[in-house]
Amino acid sequence: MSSSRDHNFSPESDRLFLEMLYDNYNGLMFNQARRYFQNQADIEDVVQQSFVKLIKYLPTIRKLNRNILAAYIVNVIRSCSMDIYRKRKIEKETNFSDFFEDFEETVVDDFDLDCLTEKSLCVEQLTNAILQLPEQDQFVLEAKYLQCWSDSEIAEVLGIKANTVRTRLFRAKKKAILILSRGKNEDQQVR
Amino acid sequence: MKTNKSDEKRSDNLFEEATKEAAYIKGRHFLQEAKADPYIPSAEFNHQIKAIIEAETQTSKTHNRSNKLSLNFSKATAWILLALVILLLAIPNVAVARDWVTKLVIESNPKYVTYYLQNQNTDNEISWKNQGSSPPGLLPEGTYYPSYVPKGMELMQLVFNVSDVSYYYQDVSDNFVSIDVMGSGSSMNVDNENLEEQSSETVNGMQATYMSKLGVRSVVWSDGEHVFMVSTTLSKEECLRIANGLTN
Repeated sequence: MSSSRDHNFSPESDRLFLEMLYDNYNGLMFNQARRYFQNQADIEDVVQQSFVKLIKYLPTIRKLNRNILAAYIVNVIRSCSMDIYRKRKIEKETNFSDFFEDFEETVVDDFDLDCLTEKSLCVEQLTNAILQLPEQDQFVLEAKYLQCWSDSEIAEVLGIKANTVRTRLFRAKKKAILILSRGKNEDQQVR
Repeated sequence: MKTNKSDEKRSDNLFEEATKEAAYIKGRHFLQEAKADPYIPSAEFNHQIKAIIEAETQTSKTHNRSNKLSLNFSKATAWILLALVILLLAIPNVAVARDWVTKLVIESNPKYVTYYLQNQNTDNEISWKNQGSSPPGLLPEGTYYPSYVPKGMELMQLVFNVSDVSYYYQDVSDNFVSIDVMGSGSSMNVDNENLEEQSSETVNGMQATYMSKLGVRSVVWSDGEHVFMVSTTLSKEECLRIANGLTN
């Protein structure tokens, strides 16, 4: 993964970009942090940690447009919040509810995802299906495809094993396909 | 059902595209939400963030500078290594390297040529001199050379400079014979202070001055166009014999 160290912008350009990032998105960051914490000090901790993390991903976030950058920031806030929760050993709230990992890995997936996606799926339909997924599934997909994090990085954020990340990614995709096929069936019944 | 890698890649690309599209929609929504519920951070917090930005970009500056420095250093090292490798491949040993440097000097200064000849087995006389001609390709026609050199003497050095030539021979007992032939415009310094012996001799029909000092015997003469000098640690007789053997 790229870091703030390996890109070709000047330090002055970086400084201006980061100032712009904070000025334009601090409202969003605080807004999201307040979803997970009530205490002002905690909220500020999350925002500060998230901002430091965003600096690490500077080369990536420079390329993102306004809306996608907003989603990226929200995911970073979420991952930092999870991290703080984990460090404080606070029981996870519903937002971060997890299954038993070992159980999760033992479940056999006989669902042929690639075969299903082979059929003429359009991006628009799949996008709608993804938007209907539970938040944690959306998070895994975004961590993989938007943040471009490696399995081990996602695993670290979620506090799970790298193998489980792959399982969760598969499940999230499977759920999206199922939502999609359910929607198609309903359409056919209406007709 | 089994799927191949292209199906897997297609599926992956589709999900990537859809996830980004979903993120775009969600991002717009998040921004609207934040706009609807504005939050103004404290001045102290803003100050902390500015300090983080400053520190981070400052680190980048130093890092970039050290990166550039190390990059330049690496490039220089690579070039030096490359040059060394080429040099080692081109010049396999010290003797060849010396010859190569000598050749470079010769080419860069055609008026002054130095030949170094080592470990030549000369026996009594140098073979090419016995043939009565200068070695082909080494000295030009008409160059003076000794037709007689005492047994055991080896040519250690030969210096040729357009109108001047000098030979230096040495044997295993460290006796030497030095022969200098100077053309017009050249000068020769002769130390004639506190001489042990000085006399007038005839060399090749020309008047010559013989002198001896500190075990070194010398004879100097001139034919009008050249000045000749033979110096040796050998006897007077040998000195004069070598001088008489000088021919072109």
